[in-house]
Amino acid sequence: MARVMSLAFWDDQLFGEMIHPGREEYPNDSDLYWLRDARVNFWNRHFKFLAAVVQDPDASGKEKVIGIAQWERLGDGAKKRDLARYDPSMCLFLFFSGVHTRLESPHGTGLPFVEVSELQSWDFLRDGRSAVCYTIMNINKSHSRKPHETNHVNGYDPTRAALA
Amino acid sequence: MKPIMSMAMTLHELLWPNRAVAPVHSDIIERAYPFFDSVWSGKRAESWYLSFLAVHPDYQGIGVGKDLTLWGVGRAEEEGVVASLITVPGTEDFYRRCGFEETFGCARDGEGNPLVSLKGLDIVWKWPSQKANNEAARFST
Repeated sequence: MARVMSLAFWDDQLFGEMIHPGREEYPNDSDLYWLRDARVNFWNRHFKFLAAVVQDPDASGKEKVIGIAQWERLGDGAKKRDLARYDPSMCLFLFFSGVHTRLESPHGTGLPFVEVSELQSWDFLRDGRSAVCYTIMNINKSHSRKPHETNHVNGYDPTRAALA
Repeated sequence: MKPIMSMAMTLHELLWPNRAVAPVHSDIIERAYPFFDSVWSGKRAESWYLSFLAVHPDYQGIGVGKDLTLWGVGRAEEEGVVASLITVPGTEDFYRRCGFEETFGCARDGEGNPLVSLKGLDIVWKWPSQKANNEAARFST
């Protein structure tokens, strides 16, 4: 998820050029910016995370995040979402899993409460929780790896360590 | 949980520093918001705001971003509130096609705003239909 954010905003005037002028020298480090931001926002019940995934062309049977949206409810309507923090299922989930584990879901989206739809077209699963995940089927566009998507950092790699 | 996670991420930053970031600009978003966040007031106070939208470069242009955007538009319509976002240069037409036809405010506004040297950053709005407004009003009474 953090990688998608980094790649999507790689050439952006604000998140790329201004905030991350060293991104070419340290191509994985900007992931940390997005990772930390997402982890904080995720625990803010005003936010709704959406993740779009496809079958990972590089790992059979696994999914890969290709799109992320973070929607935030502003105003009094956000207070209603605050009440959802006392959802008993949330307490049970916290009891049985560590925070880090919770943020590294089996789908690799970095999102807990992920639900995957087996739909032929786009649809939304609205469960009132914090994250919704879509599976996009039948994509004809081939995936090609960008140069900066590979690991350019020799030896110690903080991003990999942080995501591990 | 949010304050705890904020503290955890501060520690995380000490352990795994972001070497690509410009320290002077690392908190520029937080510093800039107070200059323009007053636009979300009055009739615009209740809103679904698209904080971030990102699509992997290999999968852009096939409708992924549009559908992730329309989720919030649909939710705003359901609740009878306005949907809003800040554009980046080159995305204005895309969001117009998603229904964000009104421009009101800009993230570069305000004297001393650290984003003043950037381009674009217009704040655009998608109002709910009259029908949605009526239903929201009926629900709240």
